[in-house]
Amino acid sequence: MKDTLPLILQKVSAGFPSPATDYIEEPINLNDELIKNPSSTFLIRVQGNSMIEHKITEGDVLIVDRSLKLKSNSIAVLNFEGELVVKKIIQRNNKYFICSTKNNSLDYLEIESCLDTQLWGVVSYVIHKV
Amino acid sequence: MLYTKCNKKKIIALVDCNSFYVSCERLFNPKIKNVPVVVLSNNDGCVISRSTEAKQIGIKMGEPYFKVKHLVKKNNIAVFSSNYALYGDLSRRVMNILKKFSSCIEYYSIDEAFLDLTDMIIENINDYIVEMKKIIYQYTGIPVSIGVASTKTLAKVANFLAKKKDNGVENLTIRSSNEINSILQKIDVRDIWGVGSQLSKLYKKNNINNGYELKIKNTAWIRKNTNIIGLKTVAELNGISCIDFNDGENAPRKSCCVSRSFGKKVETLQELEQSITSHCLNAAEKIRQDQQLVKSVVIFIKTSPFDQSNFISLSKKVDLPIATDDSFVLLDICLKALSEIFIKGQKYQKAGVFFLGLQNKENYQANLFSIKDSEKSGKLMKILDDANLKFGRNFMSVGDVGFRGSWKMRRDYSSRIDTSDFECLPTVNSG
Repeated sequence: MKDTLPLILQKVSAGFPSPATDYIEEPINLNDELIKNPSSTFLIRVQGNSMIEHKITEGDVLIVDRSLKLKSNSIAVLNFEGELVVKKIIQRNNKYFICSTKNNSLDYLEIESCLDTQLWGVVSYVIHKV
Repeated sequence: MLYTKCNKKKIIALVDCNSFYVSCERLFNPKIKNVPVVVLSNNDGCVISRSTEAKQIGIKMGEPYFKVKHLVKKNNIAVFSSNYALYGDLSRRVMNILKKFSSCIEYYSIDEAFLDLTDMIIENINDYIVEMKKIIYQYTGIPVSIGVASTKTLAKVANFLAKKKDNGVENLTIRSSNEINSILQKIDVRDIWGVGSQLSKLYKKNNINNGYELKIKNTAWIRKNTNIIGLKTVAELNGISCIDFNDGENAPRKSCCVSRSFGKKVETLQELEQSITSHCLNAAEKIRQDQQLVKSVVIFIKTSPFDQSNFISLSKKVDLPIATDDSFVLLDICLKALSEIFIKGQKYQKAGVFFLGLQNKENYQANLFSIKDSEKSGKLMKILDDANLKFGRNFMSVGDVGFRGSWKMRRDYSSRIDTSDFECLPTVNSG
């Protein structure tokens, strides 16, 4: 709920009325648009360029929502061997795999089979400064 | 008279975050997930949060850091300075999630809340609290324990039990009174909520050693030898809910913080004074609007966490002898504290003022009035102890005076993460 209402700005006066007065709306609130669940959403900054093929580069800010379920092709933050990493996730036969591009070859890592790998949160948006 | 208003059996849950500050530090640092961790108070004075592993090593709550340094080294304990910006943000998230589970909530401290579930339509309380615990962990990464009972005092007991269980929940409302009695027998009277150290000495002298013995003590004796709080505790142990619920949005806040990052770095004492003055006056206005008084003041100044070689975060806590809402008194304290911690030649990035231990003005004055009536001066301390217990347990006094002059050598182990500040976000590796 917004506590302000659009006002009719147009006063009775001589001259041309502003054409914009017919379209007074709330400005866009990016928080509302990009963050559906504020309690579970964290902003996290990216280090490194290993996700460049997924258009995520050094310095980008990830909007990570921990309430979201993992899906195929999700980009997710994982607790991976004692470190937080961002990875692409792929689903095969009802199981999720980490898509990693080590040594230029694509290898899949089964998440469940790997005890020190846990889902931290699912990335919902990437903020990239141009 | 005490009992008449409490006719309906209540269902009260106490949600308590496990090793809260440690859990916050672990959220963005999986490396310390299964290792012993401690968090230190302002100026790295005392241990104020411990992981289970650190507790097992024998680190005590509130112990001065220098006393446990040898244990820290020997056991490779991860040490953090307190990072209230991070803890405050995570606390707010946990408390917001609780709103989904009850419309009647009392935010008891930064990491604890009472929920009144009496009027909720709940099929199975156990399933409900298990779900609550699961959602809080999934959304925030903070593990909690949940205890449910018919009174706040018993909910505290339930939470105490929940902490020791693998599933982290305990529901006393489904236990028989025999079961509850044998549980209370195993709890030292000192550990019963509302029984301070003074009162527990009196009880033990009179052979009341555990929760059960207090529960069955006759009220005439309690009335004669203690005060209204003692009476309420006994009634609550008997399942009669007597301790008021400060519910929902109307509950008075317990602390008030005003802080701001500077647009450009600030170096002089004069500029910091201006900023602290405006923060202090803003905060004072807020608490006066809510008819509250301040018991403790913390001010802090810090440089940018990106200034890797020279990051400093300085703070000072001042406990007021008498709670006040007087802007001039508060400002005087803030500026004096600032002049004591200020270091020349640093590029400061943020300054802030915290008012802690906020209390209701009317209640406070009522308490002062009752002191005059009391025969023993011990009762004054009791009220002060209770206030401390209730409002300040996360903000232990560290005797900053002793650190004055030596704080330049103070090491800082801050994680520097602030989930509510775009400049200080946690990081993730794409490698």
